[in-house]
Amino acid sequence: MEEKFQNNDEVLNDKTEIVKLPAAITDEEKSELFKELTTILSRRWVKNKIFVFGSSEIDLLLATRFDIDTLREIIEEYKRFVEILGLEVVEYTLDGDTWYSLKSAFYAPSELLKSEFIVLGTIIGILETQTGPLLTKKIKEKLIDTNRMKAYQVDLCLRKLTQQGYIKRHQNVLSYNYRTLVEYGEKERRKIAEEFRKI
Amino acid sequence: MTDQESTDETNSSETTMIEETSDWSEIIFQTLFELEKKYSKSLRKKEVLGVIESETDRKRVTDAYMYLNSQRESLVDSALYEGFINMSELRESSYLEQMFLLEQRLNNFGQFVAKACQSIFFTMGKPTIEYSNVDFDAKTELIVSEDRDEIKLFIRKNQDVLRVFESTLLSYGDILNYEKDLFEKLLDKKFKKKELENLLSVVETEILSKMISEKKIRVVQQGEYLVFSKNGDYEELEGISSSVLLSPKKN
Repeated sequence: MEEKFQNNDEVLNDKTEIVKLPAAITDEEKSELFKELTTILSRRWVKNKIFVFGSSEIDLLLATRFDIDTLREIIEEYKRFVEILGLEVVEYTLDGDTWYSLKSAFYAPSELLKSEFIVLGTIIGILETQTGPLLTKKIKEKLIDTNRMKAYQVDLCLRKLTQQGYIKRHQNVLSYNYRTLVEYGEKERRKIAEEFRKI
Repeated sequence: MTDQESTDETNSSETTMIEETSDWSEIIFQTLFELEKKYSKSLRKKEVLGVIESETDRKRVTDAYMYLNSQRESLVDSALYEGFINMSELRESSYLEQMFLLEQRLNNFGQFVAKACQSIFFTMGKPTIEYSNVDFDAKTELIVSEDRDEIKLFIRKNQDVLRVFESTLLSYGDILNYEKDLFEKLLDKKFKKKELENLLSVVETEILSKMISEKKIRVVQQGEYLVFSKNGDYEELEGISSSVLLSPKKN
């Protein structure tokens, strides 16, 4: 009998070690939650005419009714869960709110066309090397005046990049939007700037 | 030769050494300065200097750092080295220009940017439930000419329904007047729902609703009667709530 009790104790101890989330959430609930998180974090929405991905922290709090610490703890657990699938949970800031979405850890086909990548690369190349504001005129100078691309092509690319959340256009000044910062790390951006100097 | 003489000699040789080095450093600085001018000018004009020429220039100033005294001289030296680097890059890109077509280079650059991208993962496509697909479009029907009289009659009968409401703006004073009237009309009395509908106008009903929510007047339903009273004990009514929909007959 004593042995049995001891075994039970061991099992209980093991369980308490495994469950890292608050006791209120059972394993079953957690697996259900992870399924729902995967669905919600891989969605694309339109906010203020710009594509956004995943879900905002506030929406997650409202949907789950967790307090902020529990939610963050669950997301930390979820990060380890999706890591096995070759995905990463990324955080980004949009209009002051924190948003969560998924990112491929290795490679995922992008929606952008080659010409759009060229315009984006040019913007990164210039923004990484200069300190002042980047005017649309300068992009046009670099790409159109040197007969590299047609004016309508550049306009179209800029519009799509703005809509896709890569760049922000305030009047005629261009700056990074959240997506460039999420998809291109600091090292990648520096490399692009180096490549850009060569062309 | 006395000791004195020997020391004099060593002193004089040291001074000549110092003089020589100061002359030498001046010459070096002069060379640095000229080369810096040359490179910045060619870079500005995007003129490519040959590899051999650049290499001889670089050799001329390889040991220059040993003779630099002031910060200004060091700055000129570093500016020249930056010039060398930029010139080498300019040369490379000009060779590349000759080797590859412009389009090819742009394509390569685009490919590089695409490769560096670690894309956001999302599922494509629209949501399966689309509200726009539900058939809510208003349908028009053709009216047969014989029915026109009937329609005119219908419109005349239901003019009240078809009339567009005009929104009325009430000042704070107006509201207070209405509230006073309502107190006079309703306080400590009981009415049936229909009686109230005949008694009150639309605006008065709105204001009554507002007064009830602000707890200025208390209403309790007793059977089919609505009993109005002033500020009663609200605690006894806590948790009990119901609503009565009034459709006033007056405008």
